[in-house]
Amino acid sequence: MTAELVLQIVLTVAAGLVGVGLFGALSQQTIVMVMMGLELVLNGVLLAGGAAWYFLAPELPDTQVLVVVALVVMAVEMAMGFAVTVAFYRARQLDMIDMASDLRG
Amino acid sequence: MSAVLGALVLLPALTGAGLLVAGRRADRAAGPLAVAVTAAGVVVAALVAGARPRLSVPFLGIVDGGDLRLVVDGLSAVLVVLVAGIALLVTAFAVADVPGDAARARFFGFLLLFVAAMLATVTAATLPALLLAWEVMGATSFALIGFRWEERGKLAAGTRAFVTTRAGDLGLYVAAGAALAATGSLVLADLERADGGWADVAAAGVLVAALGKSAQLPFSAWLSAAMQGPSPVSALLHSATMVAAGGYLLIRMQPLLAATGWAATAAAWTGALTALVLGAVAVAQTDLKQLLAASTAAQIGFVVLAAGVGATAGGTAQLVAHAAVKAGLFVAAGAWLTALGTKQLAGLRGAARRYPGMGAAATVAALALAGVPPLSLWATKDEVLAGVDGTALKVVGLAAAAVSAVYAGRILAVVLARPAGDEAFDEEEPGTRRIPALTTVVAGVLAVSAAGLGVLALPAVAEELKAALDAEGEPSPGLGELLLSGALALVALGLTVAVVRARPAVLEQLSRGPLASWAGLGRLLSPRPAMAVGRALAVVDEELIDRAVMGVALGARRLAGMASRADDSVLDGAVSGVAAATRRTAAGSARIDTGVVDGLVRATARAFRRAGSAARRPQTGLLHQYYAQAVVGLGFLLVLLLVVR
Amino acid sequence: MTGMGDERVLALLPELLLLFGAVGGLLLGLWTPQHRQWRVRLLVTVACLASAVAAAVALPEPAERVFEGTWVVDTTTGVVRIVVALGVAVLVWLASASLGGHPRETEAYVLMLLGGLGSIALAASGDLLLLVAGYLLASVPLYALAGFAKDSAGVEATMKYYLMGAFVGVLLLVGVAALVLAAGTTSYVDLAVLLPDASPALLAVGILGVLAGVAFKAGAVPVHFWVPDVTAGTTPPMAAYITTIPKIGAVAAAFRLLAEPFAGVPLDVPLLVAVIAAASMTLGNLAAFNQTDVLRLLAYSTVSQVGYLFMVVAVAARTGLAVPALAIYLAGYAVTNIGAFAAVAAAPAARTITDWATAVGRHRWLVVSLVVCLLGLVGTPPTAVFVGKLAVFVAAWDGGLAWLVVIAAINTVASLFYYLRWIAPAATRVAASESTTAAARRNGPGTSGETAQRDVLEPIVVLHAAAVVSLLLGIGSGAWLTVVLPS
Repeated sequence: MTAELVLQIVLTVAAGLVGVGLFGALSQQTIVMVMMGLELVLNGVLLAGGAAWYFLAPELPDTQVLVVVALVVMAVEMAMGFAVTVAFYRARQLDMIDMASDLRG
Repeated sequence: MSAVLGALVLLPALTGAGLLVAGRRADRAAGPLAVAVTAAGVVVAALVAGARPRLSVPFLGIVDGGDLRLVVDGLSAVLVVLVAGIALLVTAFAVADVPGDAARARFFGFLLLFVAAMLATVTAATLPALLLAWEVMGATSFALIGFRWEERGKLAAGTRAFVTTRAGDLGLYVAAGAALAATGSLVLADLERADGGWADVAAAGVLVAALGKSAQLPFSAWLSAAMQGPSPVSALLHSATMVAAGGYLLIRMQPLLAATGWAATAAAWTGALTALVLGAVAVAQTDLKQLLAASTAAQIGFVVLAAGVGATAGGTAQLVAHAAVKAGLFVAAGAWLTALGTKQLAGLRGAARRYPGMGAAATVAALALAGVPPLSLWATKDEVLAGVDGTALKVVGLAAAAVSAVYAGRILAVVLARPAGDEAFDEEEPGTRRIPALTTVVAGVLAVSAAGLGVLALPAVAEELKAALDAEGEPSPGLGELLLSGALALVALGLTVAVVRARPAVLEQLSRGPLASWAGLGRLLSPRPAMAVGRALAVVDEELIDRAVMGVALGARRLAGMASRADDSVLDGAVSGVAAATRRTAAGSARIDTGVVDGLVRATARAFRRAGSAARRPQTGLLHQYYAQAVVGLGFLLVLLLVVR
Repeated sequence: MTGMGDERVLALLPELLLLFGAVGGLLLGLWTPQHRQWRVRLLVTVACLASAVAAAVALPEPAERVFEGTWVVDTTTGVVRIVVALGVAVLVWLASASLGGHPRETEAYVLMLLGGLGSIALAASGDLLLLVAGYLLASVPLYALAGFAKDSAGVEATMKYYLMGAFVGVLLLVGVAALVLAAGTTSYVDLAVLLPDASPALLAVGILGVLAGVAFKAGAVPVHFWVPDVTAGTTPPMAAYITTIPKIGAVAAAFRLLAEPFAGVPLDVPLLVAVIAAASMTLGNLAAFNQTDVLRLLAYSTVSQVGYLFMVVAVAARTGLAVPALAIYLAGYAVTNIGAFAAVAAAPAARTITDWATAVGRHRWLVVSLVVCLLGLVGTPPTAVFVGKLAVFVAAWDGGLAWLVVIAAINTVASLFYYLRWIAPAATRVAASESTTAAARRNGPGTSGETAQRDVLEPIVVLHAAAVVSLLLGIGSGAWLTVVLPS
């Protein structure tokens, strides 16, 4: 397989991850599951970043750093997300996002 | 020297602001202080007129000409001296005329602010400076006309003046926008360089603003309402300031008007027709101040005519001469009102004979107003008419000149008549039966200037003025023209006096016609459109208008309360009066046109309200729907980005 | 790689001072008893002021890119630095009225500082990866601040803010990945060269993702949904913070993106931004029309303000007037918006317009300052936002977006309506309660009204100061602009 073809396959998988993740974020009910959907999107980004580094710009550090940044974003968002979930549960005994709609209009 | 120019504007402005802040504590000192400041103003104005300095203060740094720039050129020099001089005389008159127990600090404070604004207007070289001064002038004139707000109708009169001139002022903003769009500069002198459609927009804006301020057709009605103000205010507003500002602006913008072609013609015809129609209105008045007000619009009409036909020197001369004449007549009218308690012509029969000093001054001024040779307006009117080309325009102008002799004759016939002894005095206020010497002196000075400016008829003097205004080569009247108009004025004057003496019934009839009520101009500019907008808001939120009316009324009350804390209880009545009147007007006009306009307004308002609710509908509070809507919105933007290249 | 010459650490002095303030504040807070936490407040304020001074000193220096072009120090960054630092300092004091004595007082101040640092990072980033980092730094502390009170409304606000932020943050990363795939680099300078030749589809995804990220921080349509809910759910000082500080950085970031990497792409990005601007100002104004909750009203008003700000973003690459316009509007907006929220904070218990009017009933000067701030938000002369709006309109006109200027002008007039809806009852109540004040004054000092007033002294001071500064900035704009932006 040529490098070009491998890149195509890897990027297709990455796009698939992004799509599945978006679907999950839009369809899931509980906070944690929505977060999981977002994680899947980030996985797609990780894969795309890795592919870009390996196939497109192996001499530049930018793409590697993108991978690291995506990892950091994952970690930070997750940590924050669980903190929010815990606080939310303590205050309301709820973990479903659509059961909180006091603020609207 | 630029510091002196700053002082010219800032000295009265700061003193005025100081007086307003000090409030009633400064009542005693206000009069002398104002006279001192305006006297200093005359000195400064003379200095400035000689040295021709310029001054610039940064304001809007991002555009060329965005600074506040004052420049004194020939035209400004003439007007600065004129404004400062009239301001001093009127202030002196006001010291004698405004009652000692009135809120004198407030009066003189606003008066000084007003004078400062006028001085800034005639020296402004950039649009921001002009707009600022123009606005302050409008606002302070409102405050001055409505000075005795506690009396019925006076506040409404001030509001009418404010609303009308305000409506015209919007034109100046339009002109500023056009200037910026066309030339990227806000310098007044650059305005004429605007090309194509922008020049037309700018000229139209300037024209509307000037016509509104100068009470030309169709905006003339506010002048009638403005007569509700104290006499010194009328004397100032109708001579060298306010109405003069519009004429000045047109003279200043004459190159722009000429560049568009149609604007100059429109100005010329508006001016001529105003001179004729408002002259006729003046003839039909039974109230001296109303007569003078209408004649002001008519006389300024000649200035507008001059700006339209390019006779800038003639227009400036007319402005100056008219200021002296009209200030003198208003001082006389104010003095008689204070002394005899009436300004009805019937009551003023023989007033000149009762007070000979004042009578002599008023007679000279009225003769000048009539255009009798060798007095000033005779000369200046001919300077203006010399620039007129078209026969039709010239005929209208001459007719207007003849009409001015008629209304002047009407004044003279009444006040010079032998008192019959049964005049109805004290119709409007209790008279004091005496005229202070100071007032007579002021009127005398004004009458002497009114007469003396007739030297403008001498070719040498006229050429001198043209040189000062950079207007060499503008046509001067020939001897024949001068003789013709002089004769016309004398004949018209003589006939009028004869008719008034022999057949008073003729004028009686005239005063019952539509002309007496200002030819229905007041109805033309009714507040109804504003009320319609108000109703639109009310439909959106029924509570609001009520609250806004209350809020405005109470806000006004608080402002007024600050100005004069002493009389709170009177204020209360006035405020509730205004609020009630506003609501009644709203209700009245709502009853009148519940037809098409109302339906349209309501439909618009409903549409807005519905759109308002619709805009909030996406905010469901459900995060899922936020996600979905965000994705849809971003998807739309993505398509937009890909499709529209 | 480039040499060491461009790693001038001192170029980041203002940011370093903020960071030291945050770390120092955290440490000081650990060793300070509960009732002496004001020391932390003082330290944080000093750090902010020092940062602002350092930024002001650096402002006239020529633009430079430090740390391999990732951090841009120019006029835009300089103005954002000053406005953010001063804004955070003011907001710390505004928040102290409700935070004083709170067990986690120090943490709040430190988070506010860090959020401000994130906002500056957004504005200064010259690299997509730094943009992502700035986004995180300007978001995470704010999630915590939004739900700082841990009450029912607060946690709901935090939850929505966080989920919206995480979602858009992921989109931002997708956008960055797309741009990296298109150009192979993340630096703005290189992107500006390489992006014009890239595939339009990939570019469109990348640009949209990145702009969605900054639009979220700015609170622009279509990712504005968090703004009203978070503003209404949190406390007024925090609402002021969340709707002011990150927006400044985000708008500046969007401005830089349009001016540099997206300037030459074969897509009509200015049109995209113009559509966002038009949608934001229209939707914000319409939604505020019937609003009776003061916080929600202000929230929608900030959405519409972002619309005006995005006008100048749209023409960032097209006209030289854009930079001064952005600087004026950002400064004016920050001052006026903080003032308006301080008015709400002055009567924290009042939720609706009428409640507010009743609560401040006897303080007429509060109403006067509120009127100045609200009319300032409309853009009435002579306030700061008027000058800003004028500059923005001129810039947009100059940049060829006349239709947008027309929409903005209509929106400006329409916006007057809902601000008046707040002003009218406030003004009426003041007058109605004047007699009671007179009675209270006769009874001498120490009445209950004055005790109540003491509790909310900071918001009142901030409100008055904001009104005065708004007027001063407006009237003196000619003077200070020549100092800030010598051209």
